[in-house]
Amino acid sequence: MVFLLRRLGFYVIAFWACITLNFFLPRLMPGDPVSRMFSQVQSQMRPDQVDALRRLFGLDDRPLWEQYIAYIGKIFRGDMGISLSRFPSPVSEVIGSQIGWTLLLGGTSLIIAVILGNFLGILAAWRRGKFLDSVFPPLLIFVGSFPYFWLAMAALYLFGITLGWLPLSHAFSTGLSPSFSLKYINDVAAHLILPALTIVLVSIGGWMLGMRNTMIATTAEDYITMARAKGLRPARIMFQYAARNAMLPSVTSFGMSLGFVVGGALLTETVFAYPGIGYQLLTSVQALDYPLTQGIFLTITAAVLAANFLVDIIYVRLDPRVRVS
Amino acid sequence: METLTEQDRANIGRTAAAPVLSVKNLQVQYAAESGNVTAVDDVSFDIGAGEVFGLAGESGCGKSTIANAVMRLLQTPAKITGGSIELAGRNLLDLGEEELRRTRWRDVAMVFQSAMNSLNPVMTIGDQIVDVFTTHERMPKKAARERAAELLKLVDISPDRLKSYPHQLSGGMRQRAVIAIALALKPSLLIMDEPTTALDVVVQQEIMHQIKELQQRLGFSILFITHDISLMVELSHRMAVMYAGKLVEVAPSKDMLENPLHPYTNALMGAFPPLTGPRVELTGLPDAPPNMAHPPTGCRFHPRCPLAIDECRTVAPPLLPKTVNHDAACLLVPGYVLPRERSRP
Repeated sequence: MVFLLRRLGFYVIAFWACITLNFFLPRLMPGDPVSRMFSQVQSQMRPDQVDALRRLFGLDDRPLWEQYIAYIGKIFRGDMGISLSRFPSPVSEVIGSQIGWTLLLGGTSLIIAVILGNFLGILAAWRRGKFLDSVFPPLLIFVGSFPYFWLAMAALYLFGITLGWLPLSHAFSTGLSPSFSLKYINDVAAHLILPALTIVLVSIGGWMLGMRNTMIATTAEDYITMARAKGLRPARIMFQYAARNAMLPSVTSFGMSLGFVVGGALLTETVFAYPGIGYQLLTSVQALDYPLTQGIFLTITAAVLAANFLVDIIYVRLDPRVRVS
Repeated sequence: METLTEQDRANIGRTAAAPVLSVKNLQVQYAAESGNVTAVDDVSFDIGAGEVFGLAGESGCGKSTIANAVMRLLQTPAKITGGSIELAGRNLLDLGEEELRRTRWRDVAMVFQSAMNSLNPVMTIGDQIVDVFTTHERMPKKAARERAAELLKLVDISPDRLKSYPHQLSGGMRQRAVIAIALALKPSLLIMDEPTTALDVVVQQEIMHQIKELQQRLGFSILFITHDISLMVELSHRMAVMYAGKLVEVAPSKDMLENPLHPYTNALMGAFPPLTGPRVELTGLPDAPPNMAHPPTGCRFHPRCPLAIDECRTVAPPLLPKTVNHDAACLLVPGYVLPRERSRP
């Protein structure tokens, strides 16, 4: 418990540091977004109009520390300003409309890749040098090293166009409106298959290889030999003794990846025209939409920190040595 | 140092009619790129019921390989390439995977060298004892837990420790917990592969005392492996000295200590200071043990032997009885003629 509180304290400080950086970095850059954005139309705007816009975007002439305090206050109220490119929607609303799809796509593909990859890694290490171990790692690394967009487009072409099994783009069919009906859920699932599948294909090799390598190191441990000597059943040795220990580093990587899921999958979203944070971030950067860019960065940071804290909690459950008595 | 009781003395050197473990002509090879390395070569010995049999030798001489061979724990590149290992009349080398799994721990258990690492760090001590009972005896968890508590008491660990994780126990406690786990199914043979090497001398003495007491109370046999001769003489009834994959001398421990026949045993004894009595000059052995990929011809000890003669370079001496119950493999030790050979023409 003390351990977890200490970790929580650490994350609070880390989050504060992120907010601070997030606040100062753009302000250290020369120029301001309003003058850049309206550089084309500036001649047609009266100075008081420009001033009003500046104030609306929080770009006022107050001293920096006052702005800073106001900024922190706003963050905790969930107010991250107004999007410039999607004016006048608040940033939180823009992110909110996209984050569900990002979590669905990223979360589903990550969980499938982690579970399947780790399971394959465990089996490969356990039957080292056998079929699974000699065929799968090179194959998956081969698949994983294709340029992602190429793989995604090939999958789209094969399953979407040639075979016509799966929808080509978007998160659900046009004409359907979001509801908790079976029809809608099935439609969303069908749209999810191709994007998720391609992500799983390129990421699973890494998970498998990572698990396989740790597992091989673990099976050389003395407690595995002792477990074999004890006459335990092979499945129990494999999971309860070997994999249970070998999965610890995997849990850490899982936590990291979980945090970054929030950042979206830009290439997937682009190829499959799937809604999500990744594409939103790209457009916000291109449109010089500072508030939205900052808002997305802050959301990603918060997610990474939250995921890490979650992993800390899980880790305490999984590895008794971490518990400080 | 504890002295042997009269009972022990009477048991010395006596192999029971039906040995618990009978190893015959065991050969173990490690596959290497440059060819097979024979780590254990033509080793035979018996261990009687209730007997403590010691196996001594330098690091890398093949002691642990024998232990792992008896448990059939050897993994590639190691392979048993010849001989037989009979445990309670059954050849372990004939058993299939499932039969072997059932036999392990029930008939023969093992205490490993590294107490620190032979317990699963993410399971409680209790769970690691319980899974022996649930696997081998299909015992319900609750009953298994009670048995586990009894076992811990047997090795003087408080039953509260069932809920502890290995890292919460001291090294000595961990090794005692491992001994408790080893005795769970009351095996007839316990293999101890340098059980106290990783511990300090005080804890080492406690553990040795405990092992001795448990052995006398429960009557199991022990195959005791160490390079610490004084420890071995203290505990074992009979002992064998191993050099470069071969047994070079087998004798009752006392006999071996007082009257070593093989020059190598002699050198080993000379390398340990006696605990009592006057100071004596310690003698060591020059050079390192031979490269097992290319063992010396003839007697494997000849390059380091102070007494070697020309014949030692070409003739490999067999392990032969030299006096009653005392076998040695050395050309220089005058042979004891077997009665049945005497009657031959």
